[in-house]
Amino acid sequence: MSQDITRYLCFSLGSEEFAMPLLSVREVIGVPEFTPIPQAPPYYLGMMNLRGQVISVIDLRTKLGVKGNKSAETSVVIIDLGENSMGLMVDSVNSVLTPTAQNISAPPDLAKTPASEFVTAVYRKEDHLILVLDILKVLSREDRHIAARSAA
Amino acid sequence: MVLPNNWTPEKYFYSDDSGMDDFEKELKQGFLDEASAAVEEAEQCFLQLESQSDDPENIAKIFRLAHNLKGSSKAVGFDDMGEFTHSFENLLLKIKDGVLAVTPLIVNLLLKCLDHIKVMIEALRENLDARFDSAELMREIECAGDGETTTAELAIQTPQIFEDSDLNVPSADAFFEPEENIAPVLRAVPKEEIKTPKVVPVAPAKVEQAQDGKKKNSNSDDTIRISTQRLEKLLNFVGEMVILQSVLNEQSVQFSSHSLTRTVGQLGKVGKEIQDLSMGLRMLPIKQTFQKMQRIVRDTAQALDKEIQMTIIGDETEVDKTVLERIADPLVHLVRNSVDHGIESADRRLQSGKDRTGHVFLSARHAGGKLVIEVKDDGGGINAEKVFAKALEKGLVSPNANLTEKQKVQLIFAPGFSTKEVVSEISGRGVGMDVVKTNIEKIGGEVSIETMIGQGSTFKIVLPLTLAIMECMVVRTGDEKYVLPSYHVAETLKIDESNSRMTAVGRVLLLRGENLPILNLSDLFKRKRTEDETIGMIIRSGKVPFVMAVNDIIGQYQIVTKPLAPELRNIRGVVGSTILGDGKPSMILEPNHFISSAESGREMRSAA
Repeated sequence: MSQDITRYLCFSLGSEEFAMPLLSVREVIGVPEFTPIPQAPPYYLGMMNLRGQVISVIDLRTKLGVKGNKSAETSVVIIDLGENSMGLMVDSVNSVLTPTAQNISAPPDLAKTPASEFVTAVYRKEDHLILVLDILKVLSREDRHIAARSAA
Repeated sequence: MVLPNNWTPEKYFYSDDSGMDDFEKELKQGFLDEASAAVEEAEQCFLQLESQSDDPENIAKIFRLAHNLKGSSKAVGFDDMGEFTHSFENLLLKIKDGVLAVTPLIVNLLLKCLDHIKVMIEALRENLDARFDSAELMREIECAGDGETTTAELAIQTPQIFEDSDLNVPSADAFFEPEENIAPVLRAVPKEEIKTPKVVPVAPAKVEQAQDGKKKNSNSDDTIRISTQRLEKLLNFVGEMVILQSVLNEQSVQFSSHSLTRTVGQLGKVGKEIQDLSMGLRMLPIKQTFQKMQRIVRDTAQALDKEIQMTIIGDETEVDKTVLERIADPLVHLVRNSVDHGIESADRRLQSGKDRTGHVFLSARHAGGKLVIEVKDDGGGINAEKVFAKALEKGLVSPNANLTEKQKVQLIFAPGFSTKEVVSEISGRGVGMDVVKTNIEKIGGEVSIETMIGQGSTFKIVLPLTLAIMECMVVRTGDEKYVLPSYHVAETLKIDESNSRMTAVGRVLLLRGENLPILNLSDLFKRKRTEDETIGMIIRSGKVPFVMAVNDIIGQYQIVTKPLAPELRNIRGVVGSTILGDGKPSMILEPNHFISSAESGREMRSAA
């Protein structure tokens, strides 16, 4: 396979499917125990112990305003942010996609939802759509948000 | 020295071209590491040279260092540096032979050369092919070398042993006679022979004597350089192992097997040993940091035309590397401050019957599990009234504020304060004492001043020895556990109706004549309270003592601190994280953050 084709990790939140660049994913783990974080926004699930490293985990469902599927098996995707990592709780991890130019397109310009600013593209898989997320943008806004809250 | 540890003749002779490139690269990198160490050492020697220009041993040491540097730099192919160090060496040779007297001017030039070499080393680290033009400085060296010929000052005295005359044992090329054509010779030597150089003991016997086991010795294999990253990783895993060990310990109880319990117990001991050892790897003597201060004192004093003698005490004191890194800047500021604001001009000193030369003392010691650093000067002291007046003028205090002498002096740590009318080039670099204070507090330290008019001032910094391990209490509120560093807690007690009162401004603890405000941890973190928090932790580490009420104290532990993820760094009252014995992360509290806002409110009221 050629190197310049980006591959994506495809996962579900509720009934919808999303994807994020595979390169930003460090690993996928089962749901660990969390320690809640005081004064954090509701989508902040807490901190977890990843082999001796303390990392924050956020609930991507709450964050993007997608209804979660309570019964679904859930996983935590660990995102590599360079110096540190962050965990994202998703409903399930499905597959790895390698989109071609034919089935990927710009996101539809629809009404603003919590998720819309993070969607960079849409992938058409047979008869349903997978939204491709700019995951670093989701997380960098996270940083600013917490900082702004507690400074206030 | 410049040969990597894994070097073998086979590797060199039989590897392909790319392998040789790697080899060369490694060689060059190794040289740069070695050169930095040599430069630092030389800097120290130069400063010593200034105060004691006639010490032949010191001069010999400097010469050897420079010679070393010249030889190695040419050998690994840094020709520009080789050329420069060659002319540098010539200058030193003149000093060594007594042709050139050591004047402050010469020392200045030497330091300038050293700075130039530092620049070259840094640039080469970035790019191994970097080129340099040192012509101007080389001309300067030549002029200086020709100019002076006084030898009177260089009368040879009895050699003295210096505390740090240990030096790296001269590496291969230092054993060669200092001839002009050394470099080509060295390059012509087949590399395998470099490995086993003809050992000609040129080092003076005194140097050998001064050497003891723990001093570094770059020519032998008993020290290894390790990147901090790898060390950090090791520590992480050791921490994790200790946690797993305690989990294993708990689990093994279920199987009432005697031999299992015993093995787990032994494993625990070994684990503890490994933890202690690996934590010790992070500890470094404060020497290097102090040496930098010496240079700063020298340069600052010269810029201000003051005569200052600096005394360093306890530079072998070991400190965690992270603490060392973070203390350097505040220390630079305090030291500069002492030289600039503390020490008076020579005339003033003579008028007040003092020695012409000002004295600055820099000391480090361990005391009660803490590191204590003091910057002391015998200058004019700090005038509390002047400080107060200045603070008033800047609107930092209210005119009615009733402050003791000591409190007034502490005002120099207030944000936006600077005592000198004219912001001087030396101390007034836009960062004030408040930055010093905040930086020190950020790593869990404290800074205080003691001052006597006419006698001088002492800045005392008290720091934790390490940021990696902390003695902590684990407390519980509701279902949540938080970690409270033990140094905050003066005592703990049970809060009940007999010793507390509910007032309109909140609950108050009556403690031996003091009335301390009670703050509930659950309220501070806006948590639902399911049961009364009746355990009071008396916090006396901040400006205002208060009581933090919790549900329970789980225990007292030594915890390994983990950095807080960047997205959590601004949460009030939280300074770090750790992993508890049960494998779950927990937050480390800074209780004084909770009252900083309450306190400023109070000050405003008293000021009004």
